[in-house]
Amino acid sequence: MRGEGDMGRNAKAASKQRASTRSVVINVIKYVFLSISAILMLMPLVWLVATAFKDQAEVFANPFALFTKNIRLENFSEAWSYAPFSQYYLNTIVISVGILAVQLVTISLAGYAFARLKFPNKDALFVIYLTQLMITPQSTILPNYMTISSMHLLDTKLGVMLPYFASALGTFMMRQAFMTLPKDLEDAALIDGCTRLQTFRLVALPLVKPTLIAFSIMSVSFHWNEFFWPMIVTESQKSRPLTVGLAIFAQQAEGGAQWSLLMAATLIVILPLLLVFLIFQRQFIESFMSSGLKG
Amino acid sequence: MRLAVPSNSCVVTSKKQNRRSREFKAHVEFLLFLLPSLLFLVLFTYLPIVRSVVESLMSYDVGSRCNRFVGFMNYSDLFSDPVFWKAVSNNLVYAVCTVIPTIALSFLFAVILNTNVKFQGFYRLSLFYPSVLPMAAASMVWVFLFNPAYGIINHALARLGFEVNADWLNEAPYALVAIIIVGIWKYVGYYMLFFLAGLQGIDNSLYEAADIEGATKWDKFCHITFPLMTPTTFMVGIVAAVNSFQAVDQVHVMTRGGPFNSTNMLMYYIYQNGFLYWNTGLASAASVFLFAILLIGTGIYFTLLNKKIQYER
Repeated sequence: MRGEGDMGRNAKAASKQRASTRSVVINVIKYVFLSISAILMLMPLVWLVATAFKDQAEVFANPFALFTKNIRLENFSEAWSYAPFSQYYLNTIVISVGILAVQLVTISLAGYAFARLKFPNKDALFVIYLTQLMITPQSTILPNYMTISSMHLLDTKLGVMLPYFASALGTFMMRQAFMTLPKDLEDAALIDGCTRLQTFRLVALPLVKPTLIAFSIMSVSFHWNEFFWPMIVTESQKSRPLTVGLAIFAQQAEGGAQWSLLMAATLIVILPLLLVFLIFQRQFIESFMSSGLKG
Repeated sequence: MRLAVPSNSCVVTSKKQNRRSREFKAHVEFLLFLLPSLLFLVLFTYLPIVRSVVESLMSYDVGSRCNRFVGFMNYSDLFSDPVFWKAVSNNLVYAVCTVIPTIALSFLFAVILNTNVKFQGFYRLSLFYPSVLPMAAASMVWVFLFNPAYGIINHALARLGFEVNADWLNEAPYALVAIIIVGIWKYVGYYMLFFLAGLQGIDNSLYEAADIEGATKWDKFCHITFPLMTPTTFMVGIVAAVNSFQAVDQVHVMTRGGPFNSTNMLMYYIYQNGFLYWNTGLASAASVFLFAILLIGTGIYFTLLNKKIQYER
């Protein structure tokens, strides 16, 4: 604040000075706000990681201690041995990849139909399609359970996957993507004698790869994390995904207040997706951003 | 479909016939492309809605061992169940207390992060990472944090001068507050992205024009950013509200609806009645109630979407 009290300065400079002091203050507020928010947001993750490496006695001794003197990696091997996490891992991978594989077929076909093919009242049909955005398979668990039960698919991985094979969000994203493509290429292919299906598969589909990738990221992270529906449909470890396995593990561990074991198990469950997210942060954020709501 | 159109008895030009058959072929093509996804949508979205309505009008009869039509009995049972109203009011409180702060905060974060900020990537990461965690696993961590003896929250609050000797997840008003906090923490970064996308879509020339006019930052925010973001805000708000009526993972992991139903919410109520008490009729009636809420939300959403698209043209 060198210029303060300097009578020789004109009014304009003084107002400029005021403006710059104000922008400094605003900047300080901005960074303080952001930093506090970041600390609060990160707190659960920090405590999860810190506790997962602690000795049980240390957890009881001092809840503030972030770093432990003797890092206990045994927590992880112990947690791994208490529950069949490798089987759960396999189930989660099969379920989320299986859902994605079928979804990619159904959404690209439907998205292409809505973008390119002719049908009376196509737009009204599309709106009906989008109902699934709001009335998600999550909210229809009761009738879906009856359906899966009557198909004799309870406690199977296929039973967990089936309700998600169609995706309104995916169809929406694919339709938008196909609509931005120029029509000429496809018309040329059709004139050259390609069938619609060939045109779709060989000309249009390769051009919407970015959208397919964006949707894949969203779909896998959603179904990797899915909990309630699989909890209801699965009954044994042969079909149970990680999230449900963790909840069952927690019921046993929480009773004995084995927090460090429980946090180690939680870390085992969330680590793969968290790591993939940290590495491909930009792709994750871009695909979540591109997922719609923009109209 | 149009197959039943009687062909004119008089001479139909072959051209016309040709066009009609081409049109017919196009429609069949459309349906074939739609078939795979339509099959699963019908099986797991549309039929379930219909089935819930039907089941909500039926009741299992122990004597004859079959379902019997009972009219609106399940609905009158539902509407006279105090637990149902408790679940509805909890859900409303949860919706209002998560949606409003989440929207306000995520909008604020988006506006700040859209300016020139150092360590922008770090801040964005710290806000967004909860979105890629499973709600069930994240809730487990929060159960630990809220633990009155070993959790950090009570200890940290005490050190800051707020003695809260609450057993968060086992005491009535606190348990719902805990679930609301988790709800905000989990989704604030997710909704921030939609605002960021919206902000990046604003035409920069508007700000340049305002600069020429000598507008301050505040002016620009009030007269350009805020009005242009209003439609996005409404739409994010509806999506967030609709999602909050389907919240269930954290309820199941953190409190199981307790203590004394103080955190019971619609989806969990449906689960309890449908799967724990095997009262399918009552659970179906509650499902229909939930669908009605979701459909109203969807209706408002598409109306706004239509308006927004027209507005942007």
